[in-house]
Amino acid sequence: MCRNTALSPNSLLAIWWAACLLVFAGPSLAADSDAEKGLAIAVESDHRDTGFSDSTVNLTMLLNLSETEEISREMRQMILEVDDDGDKSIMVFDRPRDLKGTAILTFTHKVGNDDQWLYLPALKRVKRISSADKSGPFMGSEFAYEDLASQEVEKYSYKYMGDDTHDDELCFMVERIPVDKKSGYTRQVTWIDQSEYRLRRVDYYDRKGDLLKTMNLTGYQLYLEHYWRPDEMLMTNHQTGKSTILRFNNYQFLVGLTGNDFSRGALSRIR
Amino acid sequence: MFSGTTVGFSIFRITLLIPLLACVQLAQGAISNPADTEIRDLRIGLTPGRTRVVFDLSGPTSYKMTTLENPARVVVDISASASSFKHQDLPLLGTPITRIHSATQPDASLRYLFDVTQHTNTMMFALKPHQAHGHRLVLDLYVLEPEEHEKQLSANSEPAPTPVAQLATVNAGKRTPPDITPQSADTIPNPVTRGTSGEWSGYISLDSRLFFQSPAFPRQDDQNISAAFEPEYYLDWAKGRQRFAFSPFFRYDVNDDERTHADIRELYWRLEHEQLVFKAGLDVVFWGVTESQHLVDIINQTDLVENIDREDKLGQPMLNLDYMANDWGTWQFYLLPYFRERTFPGDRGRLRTQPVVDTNDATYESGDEENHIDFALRWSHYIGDWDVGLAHFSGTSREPLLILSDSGSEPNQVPLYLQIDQTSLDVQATKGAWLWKLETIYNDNKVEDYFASVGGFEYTHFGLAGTSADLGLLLEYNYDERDERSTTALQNDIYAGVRLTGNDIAGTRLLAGIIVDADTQSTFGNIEAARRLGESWTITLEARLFTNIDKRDPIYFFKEDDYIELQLSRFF
Repeated sequence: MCRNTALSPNSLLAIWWAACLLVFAGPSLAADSDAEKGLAIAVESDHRDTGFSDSTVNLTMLLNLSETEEISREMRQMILEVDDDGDKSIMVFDRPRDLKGTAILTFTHKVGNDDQWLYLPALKRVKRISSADKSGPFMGSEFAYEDLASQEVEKYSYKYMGDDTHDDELCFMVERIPVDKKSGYTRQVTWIDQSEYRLRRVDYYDRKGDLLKTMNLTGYQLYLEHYWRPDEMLMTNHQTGKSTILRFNNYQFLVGLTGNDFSRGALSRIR
Repeated sequence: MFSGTTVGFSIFRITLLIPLLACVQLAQGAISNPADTEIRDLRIGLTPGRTRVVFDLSGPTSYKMTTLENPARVVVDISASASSFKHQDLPLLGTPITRIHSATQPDASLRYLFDVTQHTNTMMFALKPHQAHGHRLVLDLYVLEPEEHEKQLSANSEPAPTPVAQLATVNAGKRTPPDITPQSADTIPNPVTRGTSGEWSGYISLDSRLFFQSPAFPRQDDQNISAAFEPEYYLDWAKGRQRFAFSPFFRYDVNDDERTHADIRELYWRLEHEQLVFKAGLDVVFWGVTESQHLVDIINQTDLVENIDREDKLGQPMLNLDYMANDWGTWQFYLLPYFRERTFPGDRGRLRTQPVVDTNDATYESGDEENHIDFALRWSHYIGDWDVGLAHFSGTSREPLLILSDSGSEPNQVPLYLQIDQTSLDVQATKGAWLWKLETIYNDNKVEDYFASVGGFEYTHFGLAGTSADLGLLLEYNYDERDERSTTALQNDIYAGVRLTGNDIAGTRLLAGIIVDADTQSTFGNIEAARRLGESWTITLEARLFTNIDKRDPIYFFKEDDYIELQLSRFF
């Protein structure tokens, strides 16, 4: 491509050196290594979660209306790991009963918008929906759609902030900034334990830069002697005081799911 | 050409499986106590065109091999205990295997899962002791297209760790690659088997309608109460690959005997096998993308007494075969052996024509009448942001012509069902918050061939005014070449609508819209709103308003039928 431009190899070299000087000059050197380390931690965390091939899980969501009143939602999720791209997943609703059989098929992409289809059982209709909405609440809970989406490394830029102890575990504190401009967050601060690179806590900062929510992940269990999964995710909204608990149970791995189980047709056959 | 190749593979694979099944039988018959057997080693040998995986065993045992597609995998279950060797140390370079997983099953057998590149065929057999060798199980993988194989192999070979990954590994201290011995793994089930298989669910609802004007015709009432009940049952078996489903529907209406009716929405048996899905029985099928009308949706007859929005459908008897050609879309073939007549309100019902439609006296163009066998074929696919469907239907029109008849004691209208050939296209482009939609049909029949189309957009503004609610704006244009002779009201009509989605715990939603006839300015207003009350109840409000309806419009008879309906439903 460069051959067609008017620039000689010498002038290209000069631009290269100038660029290098700009990048490495002064205080940005330290910032760069923090960014590199932050990314490295995210990559390692992701790497350790690679190779599970497919899994299924039952979810229960508890929405705290008040201290005495709680509402629960039940869902099932199937996930297929995809080489070189984001995961494919189907979420099916079991309760409340008026949503029974409603299902969402998502093809997560490392770069760009995800592909998403919604199945409406009353009309037997599969509808391609916009995946542009990331910040909206999921089922009226404190979780946003983007909090529950497949967390691909490429969806954020990272910065290592130091070490910190969380729940008696030595953790890396890594700041991550969503690449997508439509995200509801300006930044997130994550706590990743140093023993197993598990996500332990996330602080979410809203578009104004104020602390909005905190997610705590607890009850990590080891599956297939390699993959750690939390039993519970607690999302607390600091601005409204409300919280939502998401419980995972009956994790299954290597169930033998294939791409056929994650098609628009398969979405309409699920119940 | 390419899809043909894929079909060839599948057939080849099935024929290969038949002798293999015999193998499994033989092997299972031969063992006395497989639990004592241990896998001592796993070896991989490479000859041109073939990769051989050998399990060295301490004794005879039973095994089972299954192949999965997309992604391609070979699953081997062996009744034997775990052993100490590390399969991740095996040299996979040059083989079609990209990764090996293993797992101990609840029944203490071992499962091996081989990720393989697409173009392999597999064969598995047991070998008895011979000279220095003990009992062995052999899995042969045949590479079919060397060029294709080379290409995939280079894409799948383990990439060198990037410098950042190394940095993290240093931070992490020692970390060995996956040594997987899972605690439990199911036997290749389809997890859809969970859900409510084997249970009854459904809803019961009480609907009350209040009409704003006094009735246009005698015997009609200015209010109405009715109740509906739709239970559903399904049972999955064979790891979710087979299903029986049954959903009857009942409605009782205090005024209209025609609206008091029952139907079977679903009663079918379905079988899934890899990329094929076969279904026999009654079911409802939806095609299409637009909101103001469902032009291309043709498999099912409209249950018109339910609602004038035509979204309620009668169960259609069918034989249906779907073929999922993965990268080449989905093919659906339907054979429809029996025709369902449209339901029409009786003379005590509101929202009816004058004179009433006599459904006991339907006439057909075809001498086979309702026994005419209809066919439909549909291809659908998505490419990036685009979802496309192309279909053809040949058979009895779902939409009747209404013929005035004076033969009886009172004048009435008789439905006439023509034979049609209808070709349709439906397209949706999903561009961020914008959904661009188009449905178009060409209908070939004995009376008047015609072209009709509906197209427009739905734009969603997420997070309305800082709240969690979403606001959708809809605009669609409806066209029918027959113009005034059109059997539907949407021949030159503009639809504009607003959709509010609360994203709240109660699932509050509202859709309000108007359809304006560009020729006559006849206006049809429509509001549908719903929310959940507690865990199991929903309340729905529906209003339909007819304003300035022109005499030439097919909905002219409804001009005095403005109503508001409140529906309370209990789900179980």
